[in-house]
Amino acid sequence: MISRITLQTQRSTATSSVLAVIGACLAGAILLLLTGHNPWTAYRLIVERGLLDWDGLSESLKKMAPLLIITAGLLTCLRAGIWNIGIDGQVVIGAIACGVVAGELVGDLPRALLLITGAVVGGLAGSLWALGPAVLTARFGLNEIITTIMMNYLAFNLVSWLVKGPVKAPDIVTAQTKQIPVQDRLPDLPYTDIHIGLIVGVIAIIVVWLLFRETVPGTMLDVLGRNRRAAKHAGLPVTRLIIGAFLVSGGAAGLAGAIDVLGVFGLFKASYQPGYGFVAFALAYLARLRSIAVIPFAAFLSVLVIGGDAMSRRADVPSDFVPVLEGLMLLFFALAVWFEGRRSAA
Amino acid sequence: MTVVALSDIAKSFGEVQALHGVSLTLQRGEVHALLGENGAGKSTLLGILSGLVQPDAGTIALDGAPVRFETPADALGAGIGTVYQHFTLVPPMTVIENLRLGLSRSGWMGSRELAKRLATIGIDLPFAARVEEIPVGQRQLVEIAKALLRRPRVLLLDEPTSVLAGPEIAHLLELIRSIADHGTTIVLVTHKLDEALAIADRVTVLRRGRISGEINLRAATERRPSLTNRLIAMMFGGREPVAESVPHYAAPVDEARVVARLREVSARDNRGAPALRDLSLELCAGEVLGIAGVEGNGQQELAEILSGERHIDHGLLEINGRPLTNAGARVLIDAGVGVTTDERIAVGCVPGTSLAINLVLKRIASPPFAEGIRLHKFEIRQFAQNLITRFDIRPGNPDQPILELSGGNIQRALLARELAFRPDLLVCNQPTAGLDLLTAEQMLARIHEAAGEGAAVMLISSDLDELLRHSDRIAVLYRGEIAGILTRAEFDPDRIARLMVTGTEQEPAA
Amino acid sequence: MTINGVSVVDFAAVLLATGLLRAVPLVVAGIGEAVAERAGLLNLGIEGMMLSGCFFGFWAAYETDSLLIGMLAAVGAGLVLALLFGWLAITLKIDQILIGLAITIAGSGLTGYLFRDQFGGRNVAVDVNTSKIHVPWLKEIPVIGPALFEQQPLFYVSWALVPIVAWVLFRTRFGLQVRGAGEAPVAVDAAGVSVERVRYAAIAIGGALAGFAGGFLCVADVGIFTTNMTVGQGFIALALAMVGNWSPWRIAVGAIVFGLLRSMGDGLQILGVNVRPEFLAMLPYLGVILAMVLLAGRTRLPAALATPYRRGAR
Repeated sequence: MISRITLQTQRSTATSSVLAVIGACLAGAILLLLTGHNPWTAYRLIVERGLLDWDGLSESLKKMAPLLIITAGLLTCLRAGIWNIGIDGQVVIGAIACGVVAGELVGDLPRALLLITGAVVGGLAGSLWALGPAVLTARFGLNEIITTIMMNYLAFNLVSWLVKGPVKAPDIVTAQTKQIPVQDRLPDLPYTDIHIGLIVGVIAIIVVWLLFRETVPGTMLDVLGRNRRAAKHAGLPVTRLIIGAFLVSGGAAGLAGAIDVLGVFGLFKASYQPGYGFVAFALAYLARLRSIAVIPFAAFLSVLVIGGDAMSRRADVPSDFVPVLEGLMLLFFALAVWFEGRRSAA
Repeated sequence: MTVVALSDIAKSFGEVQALHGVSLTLQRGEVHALLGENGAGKSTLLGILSGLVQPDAGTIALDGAPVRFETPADALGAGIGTVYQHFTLVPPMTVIENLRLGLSRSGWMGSRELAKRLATIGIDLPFAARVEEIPVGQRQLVEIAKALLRRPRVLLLDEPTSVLAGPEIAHLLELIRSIADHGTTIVLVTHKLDEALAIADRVTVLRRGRISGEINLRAATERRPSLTNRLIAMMFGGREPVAESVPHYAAPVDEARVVARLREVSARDNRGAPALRDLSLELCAGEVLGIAGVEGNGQQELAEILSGERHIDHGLLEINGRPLTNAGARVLIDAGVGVTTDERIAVGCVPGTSLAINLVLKRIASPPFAEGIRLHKFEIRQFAQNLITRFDIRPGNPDQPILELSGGNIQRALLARELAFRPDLLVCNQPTAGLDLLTAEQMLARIHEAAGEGAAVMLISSDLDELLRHSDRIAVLYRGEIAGILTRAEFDPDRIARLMVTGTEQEPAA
Repeated sequence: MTINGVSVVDFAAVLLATGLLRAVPLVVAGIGEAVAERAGLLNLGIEGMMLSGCFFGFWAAYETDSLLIGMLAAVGAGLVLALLFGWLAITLKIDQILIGLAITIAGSGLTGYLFRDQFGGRNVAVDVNTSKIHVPWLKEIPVIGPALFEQQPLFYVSWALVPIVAWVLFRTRFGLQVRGAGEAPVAVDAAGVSVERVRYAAIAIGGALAGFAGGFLCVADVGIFTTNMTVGQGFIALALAMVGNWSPWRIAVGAIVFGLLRSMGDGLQILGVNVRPEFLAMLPYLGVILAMVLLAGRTRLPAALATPYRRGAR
């Protein structure tokens, strides 16, 4: 099993991440030009709608919530050198579990209790979905990249079947779970349209930050990621750490899915496939695996996604442009880290 | 006729100057021995000739014309073949595939052609066996065959007999002589005087990166003993390399208290091949048990089963009477077993973390370093500062990234973190490798202190002199078994060397 | 003998024929990945390369109505991405997992973007010659006949790649160098052969074959392009390479099993057996995990996998 992170150079700075973003935007602009679009219009629309428009900004901030939660959980794995690519599957499993349970309990429970139950169920479901690959990797040394990717596709199919059949809300044609009425959903932050999921996200980041700074398990995970052999030699409980990291990451992903259900949609529907996984990876790398740095980059990416959505409608640019930018950002980021490595070696 | 001429070659690795202005010539068809102690610079010089290493200064001339070898390919292209000390073989491939790979730059050689060529050279090898399955001595022959098949003008051999046994050594020396007689120039890097005297035409002695003397054996008129003395003087600067009779330290050995007992322990190496075979050993409180052996005979695996990193397939491991077979690293550490690894950086250090973290890593979850989940950073730092002072780890900053420390200081740190917790069993795997003499002596002094306080010490070292000077007993590992144990009274470098290389004390058949 | 009015023999024939067809992208991409990994390169970009092969092959075939040009474009797309991977991983020595993921994400986004941009997301079909050849006599053999002797020429070309790659790996000096580069690059270096060049060649093969696989999937098999149409088949191919111990023959067996699993879905529908399509879709992925678990003890990664070569590093 391969488990080495080579990202955290001795003096990692924000410069490389910022350069990566700029590089990607430039490359993206070239792509737009080559395909007959106006990059200036495109980027302008993104910023206008994602950032400068009140509604758009609210949407962006709402979008940040699941990204923050997921990335916080993902950091737990990545810093330990564990490649949990199964985020997307864990998100939808968490979302559907929450949608089903909360949908059933609407009316039976007061709002606060309903929300907490839904969130917990979502998180647990996500953790459970990560348990299989966790054990296979920790005890049997199987490559977790492949197992988690397979679990994603299993999840999509399983969920698709469930929402079209067994857990479908009765009396409705579309494949979705029972709806949670608006008044029972996540409350908004005062004076805004933004549900409190954003606060949950920030709390998640802070928790993970504390985990790595002040706790034993956090330090152990960090050591595990930096040098597995040294961790074994020093008697660290490697198996437990791996499984623990997976459970935390899966739980965070499931929680994010639950938050989307409880705060945004009020239900789970068959078309829910937000594709947070790859975005979270990009975020984690751009933030150099540092928790606090995730916040500004998550904000940036959210603006990009929301703005990009609007831009694609108005400027006739395909919405896939944003994933292209994300992939380009990762590529440029890799180059920037390499460049940084050369300068410090010189 | 001078084939190769080296002028003023200098090379340093970081802070260590390996070669200072070395000049030397190689004649056609001669066997030229490069003699010297460990660390004298022989391997570096060889690396430069073979294109593996680039000199910082100086020139190489081939047939009078200056050349530069940027890569091993350049040297090969110039007709210089090398047989390295660390094998350049692909373990899961067969012998024939490895030979073919060695020749692949010039084409694909069929099995029959290969067999014919090997027969001409005079080496016999099992073509279809996988390299990882054949014994180390045969692997050495594969390496040599690989080099010879290219019909090089110059053949560089780095300690070729180090893994060979009795008759194999004589056979190889004959082979070398005959190749030279056919016109190939041979450079024989070795620390074994007898071999140099046996077949070399000229001997150049290296000491601490400089040439300390040369002898033209063909022209010499002296008798062998006198030549031997001259060479010894050049190699060691007059110091007696043989074990001193009385060690500086003599800790009392409590034979009643058996701290560690291994009974018929078997374990496999990373490739799944048997590494330890029914090995039995006991260590008593206060003793220093030296483990001697040619690299690759199970030392690594022995250290790893004691640190809990490797699984014991059969047999029993007891620490202070408690059966702890396969109990895991955590349990072993808590039971008082301290192990310093030979891979200082790959296993001993966590890159990107501070010296302090590394010092407490083995007990980071326990008080006073942590309580429950919470890390007590202040106590960690204090403890680290304490160790830094006690063990003179430099520079003295606990927050400094560990990889910024020099090799010697990292070793100090690794030893410190074990000794700080007064282990009952201390296993040191190559603790003085690559260290300057002063630091090495300091390490050994600390180790003896630990023995003095009642610890059982296992000292694994490839430096036989070191073992002879510092051990109470020496156990020789051969192919995963204890070939013999000698007490201090029985110490004899020849006996031990024979055990290391052949596994028995019998004289080889003439 | 019939079930629900369908002859069992016919059913088996269709199952086998489609199964072998579905297996092609898996086996071609799989053996390409095997070559790359044997040389020490872990190519997670395989999914992106395959998808690019899908799209660019589709686009070229659509514009020219030519299967050959489509396939050439597909191979070219995979090759370009492979060389990018090579440059980043071999020359710049950047972390291979990061590069692979980036290429897959970028590839997925790029193909989706270009598809929507150029085709407006319509379901257009290519119009290429995918007519099958019919081997007389042999095609009459029940069950096996249609499956093995009534397929399009490209099908045979694809399967022929298996013995070709096997031969290259085990009977040529290049193959020796590839295997050496992944296990003990120092041996290759000591032989005077450039480890970097061998690895570049290996990843080029990996990418080209992944592109080929994608091209086949889209142009020769399905005929239309949809975004992310590879749905993880690149990763399945990667898993097959690992589980098959990087041996082309074993990978072929694995690919056939998975191809059959996938064609079972359609087959059972024909039989009128009422199984939810999602369950059948899940089978290949479960199969990969199961295969990994069963073969856990016996696969040994190439020792230098995902490790850049640095001369003299100890």
